[in-house]
Amino acid sequence: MKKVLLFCLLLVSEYMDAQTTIQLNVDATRVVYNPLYHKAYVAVKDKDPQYSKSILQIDPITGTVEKSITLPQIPFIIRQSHDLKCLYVSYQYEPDILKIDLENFVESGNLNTDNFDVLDFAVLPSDNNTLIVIRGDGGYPDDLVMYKNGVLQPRQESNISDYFSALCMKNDGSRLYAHNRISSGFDGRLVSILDDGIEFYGKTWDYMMPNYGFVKNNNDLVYNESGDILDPFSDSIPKLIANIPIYKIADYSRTGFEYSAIHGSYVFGHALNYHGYISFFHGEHFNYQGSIALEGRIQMIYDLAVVDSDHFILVALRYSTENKILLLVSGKEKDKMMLQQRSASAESNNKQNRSWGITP
Amino acid sequence: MIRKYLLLLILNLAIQSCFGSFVISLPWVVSDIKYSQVRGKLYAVVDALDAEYGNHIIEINTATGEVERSQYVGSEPVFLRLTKDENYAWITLDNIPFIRRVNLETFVVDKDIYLGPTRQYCSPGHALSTILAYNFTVLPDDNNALVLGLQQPFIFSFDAVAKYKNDTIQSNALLQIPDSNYPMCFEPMMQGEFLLGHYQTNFDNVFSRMKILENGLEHVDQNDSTAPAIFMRNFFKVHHDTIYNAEGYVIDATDSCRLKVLGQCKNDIIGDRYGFTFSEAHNAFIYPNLTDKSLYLTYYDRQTFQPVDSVFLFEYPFYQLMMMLELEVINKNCFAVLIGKDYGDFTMRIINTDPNATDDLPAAGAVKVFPNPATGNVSIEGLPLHKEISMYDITGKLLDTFRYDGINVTLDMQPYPRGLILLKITDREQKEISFITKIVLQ
Repeated sequence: MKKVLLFCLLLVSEYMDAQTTIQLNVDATRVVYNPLYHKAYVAVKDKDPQYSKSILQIDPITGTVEKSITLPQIPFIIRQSHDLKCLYVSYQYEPDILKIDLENFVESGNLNTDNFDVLDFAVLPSDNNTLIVIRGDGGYPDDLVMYKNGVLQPRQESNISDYFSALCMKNDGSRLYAHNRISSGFDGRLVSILDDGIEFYGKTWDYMMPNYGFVKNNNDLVYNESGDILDPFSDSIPKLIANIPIYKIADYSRTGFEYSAIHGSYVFGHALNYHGYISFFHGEHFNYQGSIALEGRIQMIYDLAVVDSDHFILVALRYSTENKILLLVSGKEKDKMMLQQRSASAESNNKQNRSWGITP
Repeated sequence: MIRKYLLLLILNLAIQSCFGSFVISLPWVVSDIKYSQVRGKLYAVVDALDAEYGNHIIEINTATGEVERSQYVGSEPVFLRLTKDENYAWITLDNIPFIRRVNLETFVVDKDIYLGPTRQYCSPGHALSTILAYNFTVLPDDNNALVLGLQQPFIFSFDAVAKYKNDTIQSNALLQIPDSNYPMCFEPMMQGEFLLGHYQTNFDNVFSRMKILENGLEHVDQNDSTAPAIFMRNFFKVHHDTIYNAEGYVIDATDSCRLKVLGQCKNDIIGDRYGFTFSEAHNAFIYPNLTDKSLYLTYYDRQTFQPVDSVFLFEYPFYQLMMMLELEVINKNCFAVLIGKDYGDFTMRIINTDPNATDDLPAAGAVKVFPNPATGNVSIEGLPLHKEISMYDITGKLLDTFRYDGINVTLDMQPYPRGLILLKITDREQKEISFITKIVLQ
């Protein structure tokens, strides 16, 4: 009788895990969700037959493409202003940042970075016309500068030989964490933001946040796609305070990642054994809470945006396909569907191996 | 809510009653367990992947398997050590440079120690700085004194072994051990005067002895790789200055690092047997034997290192390659083990082997085994009609298997070695173990 009951409960549980997915066949590279206008904005690469090199405004629930802006180059990074009224777009290996007015979804300006490529940028929270930019050439950074109303500010750091290439702004706009995502040192710098430019403030330590990707801010904690959580701002010594072991359930270090205040969770989109998942980790205790299993075979997930408690948008790559796609997933929040598998790195990197000298 | 009911249901179903013992299977994925004799509680640190208690230390009632208290300790806990007075638990964390202490009375984190970054204790050659504590030991008679293996992220050896005391790493940390052999496992010896560390690679097998100073550690000497313990794994434990390891070797290391092998707790298992201990309750070394889908514990005499008794814990499905990572002795009849698939997730089971602990034994007197001790034939009466009888020696090695139809059988014991023999009788229809007993062959 108990086994029958258990089976029934499992069926109910399985039913509650049900999710629906809308697939948009656009060659997307990045996606952000804007809660002010309740729209999602998608950067599309050049191989897309319909929306090549464009920014799309889509309905985040139905996936309807409502508006589009054609770009002169392939979009690379998209970021929203603090007040959510503007979207900024940089291009791969190009010296421009496009500004889009999101209320009307029209271009409202362009910042030329004086023939330097834009590797990453951050928008000052208090001023949508002040940007901090890592400028470089051929993918390697040259300097870290501030543009205010399109004017290059005098105080800058010109010799950033440590290859800072990812930025994360403190919420009050007073400081910046500049992360090295290219070289093997993986170190970073703290940067003070002044009226007339920027100034190095301090150094974080090597291997403090080891990843090749970009970084994001949650309540002034910096986190990345590998689940490292760094506190760079609250003390003179930046501290790595937690690690979410996403590697245990992901085949690649590449994940879509975002802290969701709605869920109180860090949310990761990731692939494991050619299946896609949206997984939730507790916002304060950093432990696994559950996953939503995605339909079909997924090779990799590149970006993720949380719309609300039940809706998510992913930039994904289906198994054995070339172009990325957009997946609009409607699924119940963390239905505690425990993953039955672990990644190969989880099996080789565990306590009994390491404590007894068996190296992965 | 549904998950909670599911867990309770699973927990309920998992309390399996069988053959005079009961097994409580606990669902949480944990990395380390320790039983406190003083407090009468089992403590475990739970992996980050656990949805309910991930990154927490939990206090478990060993009679019911229920979690009585839990406390977040950080992401993610790996090693758990109790202080000698069992008032505190120290915990190291994977991937972040912190160690934390939990007061077991109040069950709160009362020390949160940030280890780095600093270049002071790491090899300058690596030019790295962030350091993690990994394996460690609590020094006797001081709840706030540890010896820590300090490790760089992504490099699976220690850069240094350092003493932590009075809320700081002591200035005279042991920066380097000769031949670059950094011990992966270390234990205090001789009332905390010395520290013995062991490290093994494919080419080296080195014990290092260090003097524990007030302000750090000082290298004393080390054995060479031609020592008798050449084949020993680096994981060892210490009981009264005698060390014993995963291969069953028992070694005297009191005079110098010229190690003297006293004996070996042998069996036919190839490879290492983790989850071993010296049990004061049994006055014996206890090693696990995972054979023929069954987990046994074998007791070895502390003087002769010969097997003297054995206890069957439970069976596991044939497709699970089981590894027993930790063993904690709760009392003479009760054990907590940390088991899992080979290199997989590990979960706890609490096993009570007391024959009076359950009520679903074959009715008292229904099964008769005679004579016992025996010299030739052994008769068994009152068994299930369709049964399978498996015979094991004291180390858990399967000696023979028979299938019978009939409630009474007579076994010819002449072909089998003299000593203690375990008989396990399985009901072929019910697919359950219905009875287990021991007979002595003389």
